[in-house]
This record gives sequence, structure tokens and C-alpha cells, in this order.
Amino acid sequence: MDSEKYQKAKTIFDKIIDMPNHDRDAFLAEACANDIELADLVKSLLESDAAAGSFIEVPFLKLSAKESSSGKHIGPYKLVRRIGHGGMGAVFLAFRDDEQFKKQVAIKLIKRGMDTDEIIKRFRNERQILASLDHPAIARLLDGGVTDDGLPYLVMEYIEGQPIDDYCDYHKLNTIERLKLFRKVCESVQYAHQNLIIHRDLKPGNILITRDRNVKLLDFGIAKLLNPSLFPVTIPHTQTGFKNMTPEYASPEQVKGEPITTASDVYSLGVLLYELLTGHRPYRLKSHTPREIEDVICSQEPEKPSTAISRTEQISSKSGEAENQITPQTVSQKRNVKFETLRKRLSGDLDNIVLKALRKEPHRRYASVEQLSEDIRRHLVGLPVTARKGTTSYRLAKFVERHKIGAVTTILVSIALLTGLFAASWQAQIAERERARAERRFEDVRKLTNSFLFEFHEAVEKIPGTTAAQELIVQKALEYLNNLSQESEDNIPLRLELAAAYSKIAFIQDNRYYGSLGNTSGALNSYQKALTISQEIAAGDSTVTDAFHKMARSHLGIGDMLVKLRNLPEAMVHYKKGLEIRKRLVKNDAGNVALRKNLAVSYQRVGDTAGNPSFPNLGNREESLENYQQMLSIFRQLFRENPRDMDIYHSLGISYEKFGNMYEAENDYDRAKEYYGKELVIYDSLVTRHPENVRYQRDLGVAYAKVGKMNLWQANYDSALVNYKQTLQIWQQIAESDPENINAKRDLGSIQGVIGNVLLKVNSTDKGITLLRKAVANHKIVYQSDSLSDESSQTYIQALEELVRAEMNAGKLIDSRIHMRTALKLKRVRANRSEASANDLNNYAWALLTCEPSELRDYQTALIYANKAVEMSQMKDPNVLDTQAWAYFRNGETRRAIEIEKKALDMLPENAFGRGSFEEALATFKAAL
Amino acid sequence: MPDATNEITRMLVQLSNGNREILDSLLPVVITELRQMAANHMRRERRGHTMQATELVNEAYLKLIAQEALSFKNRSHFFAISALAMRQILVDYAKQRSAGKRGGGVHKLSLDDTAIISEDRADHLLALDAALKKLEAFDERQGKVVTLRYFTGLTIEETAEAMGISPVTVKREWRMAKAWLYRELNIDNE
Repeated sequence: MDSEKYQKAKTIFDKIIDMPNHDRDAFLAEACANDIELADLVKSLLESDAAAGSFIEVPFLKLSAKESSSGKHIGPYKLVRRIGHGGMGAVFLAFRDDEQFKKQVAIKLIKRGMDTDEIIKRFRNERQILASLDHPAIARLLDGGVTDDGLPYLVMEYIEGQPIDDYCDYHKLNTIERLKLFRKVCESVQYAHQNLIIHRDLKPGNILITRDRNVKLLDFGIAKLLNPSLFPVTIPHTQTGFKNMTPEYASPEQVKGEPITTASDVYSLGVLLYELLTGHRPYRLKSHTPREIEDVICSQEPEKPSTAISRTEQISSKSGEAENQITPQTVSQKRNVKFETLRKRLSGDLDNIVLKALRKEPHRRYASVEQLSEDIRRHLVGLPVTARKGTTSYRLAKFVERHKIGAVTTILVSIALLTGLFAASWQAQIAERERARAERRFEDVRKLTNSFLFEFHEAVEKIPGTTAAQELIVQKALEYLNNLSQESEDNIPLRLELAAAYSKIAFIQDNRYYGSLGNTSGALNSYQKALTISQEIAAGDSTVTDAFHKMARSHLGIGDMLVKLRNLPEAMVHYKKGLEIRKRLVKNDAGNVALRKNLAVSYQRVGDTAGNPSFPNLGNREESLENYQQMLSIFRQLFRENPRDMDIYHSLGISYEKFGNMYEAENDYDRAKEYYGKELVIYDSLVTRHPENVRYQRDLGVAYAKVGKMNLWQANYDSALVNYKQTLQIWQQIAESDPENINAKRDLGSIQGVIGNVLLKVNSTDKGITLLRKAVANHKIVYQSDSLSDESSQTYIQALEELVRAEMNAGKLIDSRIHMRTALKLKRVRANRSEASANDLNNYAWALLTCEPSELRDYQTALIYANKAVEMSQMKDPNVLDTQAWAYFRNGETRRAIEIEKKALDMLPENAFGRGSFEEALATFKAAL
Repeated sequence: MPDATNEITRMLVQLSNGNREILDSLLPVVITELRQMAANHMRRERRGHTMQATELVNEAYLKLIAQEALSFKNRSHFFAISALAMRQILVDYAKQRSAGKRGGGVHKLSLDDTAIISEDRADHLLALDAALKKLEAFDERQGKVVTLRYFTGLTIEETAEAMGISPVTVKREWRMAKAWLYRELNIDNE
């Protein structure tokens, strides 16, 4: 056979393959004429085609995965093999069994016997929240459902890694390396806490370290999903209460069935840190009876880490087969250090830090994971740690508590022997009063944190339209804070916490991006309080770097609010102050990635406000470019150092986008396109890496659309269409994979509208109209899901009007009338709302005066609404007056029309945009006299 | 690693500027990198995990290419080259594996190498590779489609993107190529 013959066969094969069997022979006979060899070849190819089945359909390297799989399906996922099992059920490696996503996932199959309905209900409630956890160090919850057998399952990002304890031992990490790794864990737990999610089951098995030493936390919030009260109060002493968690890492409040807060995660992290540093757990449980667990965890004081390492302990290995011995030698070997050095390393700071995290009472622990992590950082750089402070009075208090009455005398006597009875009792009293006061304060903060952060958040999340209630809660929270701030002038950690709380409240009151109460001046006020507090701390002790972080954060927040209030020069002052602080902070801690990210964000804000036309700006283009250049080089450098940090990579994309914005505004479309293209390449590879990440997909769509827009403005319609269609394809996929996602529908509608209009431009009228109709359909769904939303009805109306225009031009008059009627109805609804603006009234009136098809116009009604609009705008809006003039004109009152139009013209500056149409109107009226 | 990264990126840019000769120097570099990554992969996954070509190539892409310097089109080039590289690597493994089985192996196989391919599959792969070479002589495009899909695990749509042709065309080419290869391998067995 030769190439020529093969190509001949190909031509025939391609045609014949789609034919029904009975037509094939005839076609073949004719096509091959008298070339029998060719006919035989095609015939044999057809036979092979029928017989080949799945031959080479599965890529070579995937075969091995397939061979070992159990072949079972759960939902759209194909199981590959079992990778673990735990209290709640088995975990499988799986992949999505369709062409689009070959992404590996981990599926947790919940075993029978757990409350299925309850779990499914909770899953629905929590899914949004858990899915919002978007952090490179947190494994994402992707999906969930119920199998055909009625078992609930959860689908999670599949992570290849080693449990943190194994990892540290295997790589013989020394104490410093372990502490650094532990801080990475803290950073991601802190991120989740900021998003109001508590882990509840932190343990080495849920903290994996990948081969490039990145942390990945598994099962965030899953514990709550599966069992909201892991230790229900009603059955604290039955076996079932403990079944689903790992008692060694459970906090006293968890064991006792008390409310679980972020402090419970602090405790579990304390256990983890204990174990990483010493190789021992703070407690070894023998019988695992509930009684023993509660006893040990709630009342036994853990040994200091520096002492614990001297212990020799027998433990059964994880599989339960072999007995292992932990000795001082094995512990120091695994840390690549001499025993004595290790002991010295741990005693002091690290003892104090670990024990502070492990305190029985939640309010005596670190108030946040961030503070725990910060203390470790302070230790690492040789600064004094906060855990040291108050330790003596803490121990004293514990001692008294434990030994009740007898102890008080014993203590007093023994101290009296050393320092004199009077002085000692006086000091003890002071310490006691101090302690009580601090305790009360902490208690208040806790109450506040709990009610504000958690209860409030739930109110926000789950009940739409409760703005008033939310305001009330914010108000309550602010009262608490004000009380606290008045009597806590001396306690730096507490004051730092206050500053943080004010920032958080400010963010909920108002912010640039997310849903909020829209209380801009309230937010401004809160940020200013946060700023004042942190400034005072910094003025008192300039070594408290945290105070400077918070100062910078507050400046940024104040800037954001001032931008909203359109006080740009003042906003710029604050942005720049924040920037300067962050510059200094980075200078002193150049290795701190989070800090450098923050610095880049500061540059970004200065850049946005200086002269980026996409934002309210001061018109200083050069300054924008300079600051964006800084932003870009920080993210570039960070990306070079952390090529796997998707967050950084994403930010690099945003940096390019900024340049695109700038050049776009200067009509330099080629350069804008170049930068949007760079952004696009980044998002594209983000999507490749994380096909499950909807945000990346959406951003990729946006990037294509931006490139498309540049092509559109250069009249490269074909290229623009190619770009826009990419956007369409991506957004369509997003919308299809999550039918309840209204934002996805809105996106889809908007890109369909854009493409529709471009198609009309290139005279593909029918296709254009089809797309505009699809756009209308999608905007309708959005509108129906939230008919109160201002934006959704605006966009729906706009989509309808675009469609009407297209249909009119194409002579589809019946359709256009139907659609225009819908648009008019919507405009009327808007105009009749109690909160209707002058603009709404004006728009309805204008539509009644000018709409096509013209038989839908209604001049009399138009005049009524035009008059209302003029009244509402207090005759100050020339556009509204223009409408009124036309309304009078159409109702036959030409003189009045002229009079009003003149007034409108008087309000317009000589060279105002659109002045021409006013002058034309006046001419028309005059001509009619 | 940054050296290789820059080198590969530079070569890819030259390639998309029309310098086809660069392919000769680019392929060996990519092969070396991919092979090393595959070996690392197997070492880390020794407890029965499996390797997926798509993942490997994506990983190579992220690792080897200076993202910012490349246009969108270069990605397609990279996938095309990776497919060739993957095929080359796998066929090499298969050859060694097959030689080992017959006792005449000159190369000593490391554990990492052997783990990728079982003996049965090694023979199958070598036969397929030979058939694919014949196919390429008749129809280069079909050969390319098979290489991309079978050796790097790209989907129809991804293959279309990488080759700059439509998914419909990919489907059509794939169907005939698959039928021909199936026929070719079965005839050989008879």
C-alpha cells in the first residue's frame, strides 16, 4: 500500500462512515469503480472500525490506573482505588468519568448508619461556605451527593502528600524547620478562620505535606458537616459520642460537648506542635473509654515539652501490628540533633508557647491562630514571646484551683518565708484582681467574637433581606468593643485584637468588592478606630510589628472608603501611608511572602487611584504605571520563588490586567491586547492546573472577552468573535455544571449579548438574533431569581431592548413588539416601585415617547411620568427636562415644550456632550409652531 | 532548572517564529526533562500509585516554560513536542523492558524504569509504535492525532486546540487511524 491509496481510502471512508449500512455497499462499489484493492481496504477498515471498540481509547499511561480500579462509579466519578478509611467511611481515589475533566479527586463515602438525611441537609447548607475556601493550602471540597445505594459522599481535591508528622520524621527536620512548617499550617487555618470556618478535627492525618514542602489541609469543616456536635451534651458518656473523631487532638470543650470555637483549633494545633517538637503526645490514652478521655483531657496537665522528651514510651504503630518505642535517642535522631541540645532548645519559650496553646480554658489560650503563629515567629527571630507573660500567675491560679482551700495557706506561707508575708499577700491580691479583670475582658471578647463572627455570619449567609437585623448586630458588636477599649489600655495583645475586630466590622459595614451593609461612613469610622488603636500601640512599643501591620491595613481600608465617598486626594494620602509602612515592614522581613503580597496590594491601590480610568482616579497616568510596575515586579518575583502558589500566579495575571486597562484607556489597543493576552495565558494555565476551580475558569472567560473587546475596537470582527466564543464556551460550561448558580447565568447572558451584537455587525443577522434571544432568556432567569435587584432588572431590560432593535431591523415585527412590550412592563414596574428614582421615572416616560414599534407608545401616560420625574429631580436634571419637553410636545403643548427645552439647554455647558440633540429638539418644536 | 527553562522557552519562541530546525535540539531537552520527571514521579509513587501522562505533561509545562515569555500559541507547540517526547520515552522503556524479558538486555534497568511498563504492555506498545510509524508515512496528520491522544492523553478538544484544527476533524482522523491501526495489529497477529 502507498500513501496515495491511503488518501483515496480516506476520502471514501470519511464519507461512508456516516452512512447507514444498507447504503454503504452501493456507494463503495461506485466510488471504487474497478479498483478492487481499494474497495477491500475500505471494507476492512470499516470492519475494524466496527470491531475496534475501546482499542487505544484509553491513553497508554492511564491504562494502569484503569486496570487496578474497582471500576465502580459514584455519581459521575469512576473509582480508581481505595486510599483510606476512617470513622466516617472509606476514601477512594477517583476521577470524573467524562471527556472534560480527567482530574483526580478523593471521594469520601460515608458509611451506613450515619444520619443520611441530616448529612445531606447540612451539606447543602455548608457547601457554599466550604466551597468559598479558596486557599492554596486547603484542599477544596468540590462536590457531594448520594450514591444509588443512598449513601452520602463528598468529593474533594485529591492531594498527594505525607502526613506532617511522618514527613518531618522521614526528612529528619530539625526544630526550626518544623516550626516553620507548622507556621505554614497556622497560616492556612487562620485563613479559614477569617472565612468563619473552624476545622474541628485537626490532626496529622489531615495535614499533608506535598513533595515541595507545601502544606495541604484536608477535611476543612467536614467534621461539622458529618456531626455538628461531635460530643453531644446529652450522651457524653456513651461510646457513640466519641466514635467519629480523634480524641488525642480533641480540646476539653469538644470532649465536654461545649461550644466549639476557633480556640478549639488553637488547642488541636497545640497538640500537633507538641508532637512535632517532642515526638510524644501530651497525653497517651490507654483504654479510650469516654470516661478516661474526659478525665485526661479535661483535668490532666500536660508535661512540658522539654521534659516530655526524656520519656520512654511504647506505642503501637498506626496499623496496629508492631510495637514501637519512643526513646530520647529516637526523638533526637529524628530531629538530627543531640538530645541535650534539643532539650535546651525546647525549654523556655517553646515550652511556654505549646502550653499556652494547650490550656484547658479556651479563653486562656492564644486568642487566634495568628497570635500563636506570631509568637513562634517572634521566638524564631529572637524576640520575647507573649506566652511568657503572666505564666507565673497563671500557674499560681491553676495550683490554687486544683488544690482548693489547703493550697492557699501553703502558698502564702511558703512565699512569706521568702519575701515577707505582707508583700506576698498584697502581690497575690493584685495578681488575682488582674487575672479576674483580664478574664472578664477576654470573656467579653470571646462572646463578641462568637456572636459576631459566627452567629452574625450565619444570619448574613442564610437569610436574605435581613439588612436591618444585621445592622443591629453590628451595633451590638460595636458597643462591646467600645466598652472593652476603655479599660484595656495596658494589654497589648488584647488591643491588637480590638484593632483587628474593628477592621473586620468595618469590612462588613462596607467594602469594595463583596456584599456588605453599604454603610460607608460607619466603615470609615471603624477603620479609623482600628488605626488609632494600632497607632497608640506602635507609639508605645515600636517592636510590636503586628501594630504596624494593622496600621497599614487600616490605612488601606480608610482609603477604600474615601474612594467610595469620592474623596480621592484624601484616599490617596491614606493609601500612601499604608504603602510606606508596608515598605518598611518588607525591608525588615524580606522573606515574608504574605507581607510582600500586601505591599503589592498597596501599590495596586495607589495605582488604581492615581490614574486608572477603570476606577475613580486623579488623572495621573504616569503614577499609575509606576505603581503597577512595582506591583508587577513583586508578583513576578514571588511567582519565581513560589511557582506553585496559584494565588500569586493569579495576582500576576491581575498585574498584567492593570497595564491592559491603562493602554486600553489610551486607545492603544495593540498594547492593551498584548497585556490582556499575558493575563490570558496565566489564567489558561491556572485552569489547566485546576480545572475544578470555577473562579479561574470565569477569569479566563473574562480575559478572552477583554482580548475580544480590543479586537472589536480595532474592527477585527472575526478575531473578536473567536475570542468571545471562547468566553462563551467556558462560561457555558460553568453555567451547565452548576445550574443553580445565578451569577453564571448572568455572565452567560452578557457574553451572548455581546456576541449577538457583533454578529449583527458582520451581517449574520439570524445568528445574532438567536444569541440575543438566548441572552434575554438568561437575564430573565436572573431577574426572576431576584426581581428586587436593581441590576438584574436593568440588564434584563437592556438585553430586551437590544433584541428589539435587532428584530426591528430584520423586519421581525411581531417578535419585536412582544419583546418591547415586556421591556415596557419592566420599566413600568421599576417606575412604580416606592424607591423608584427620577431616572426610573424618566426612563419609562422616554420609552413611552420613543419606543419602536411605535404603536406601543403612550404620550399621555408619558407626560404623567415625566412630570413626576421632574418633580423628583427638583428640575435640576436637563435630561429629565428634555423628556418633559417632548412629552408636552407630543401632547400638543408646543409652547410649553419650547419653554422647558430652553431651560434644559441653559443648564448645559456650551460644549457639553449631547447638547446637539437638545438643540435639535428645540428646532423641531419651533418648526411645529 | 531555570537554565533549562529559559532554554526551552527560547527554543519554543524560535519554533513559533518558523524555525523548524530548532525541533531537533528541542526534542532531546524535553525528553530528558520528562524522563527525569517521570522517574521522580515513580519514586514518589512507589506505593502503587500510577502516573498519568496528561498530568506529567502539564507539570512539565508549568515547570519548564517561562510562562510570561510565551504567547498562547506556544502552548500548542509544547504539547505537540511533549507528545513526541512521551512516545519516545515510553518506547525506550518498552524496548528495554522487552529486551530484559528475553534475557539479552544490555542495559541494567533501574527499578524506576521498570515500574512504568509491564512486560505484556511493553510488547503491545512496541507493536503499536511500529504500526504508527507506517501510518505516519501515509498520513502525517493522523499519526499526530494518535500520538497526542494516546501518548499524552489529550481529549478530542485538546487535540484540536494543540493542532489548530477543529474537533470534528480530529474525530474523523482519529476514527480512521484507530481502525487502520487495529487492522494492522490484528493482521500481524494472524
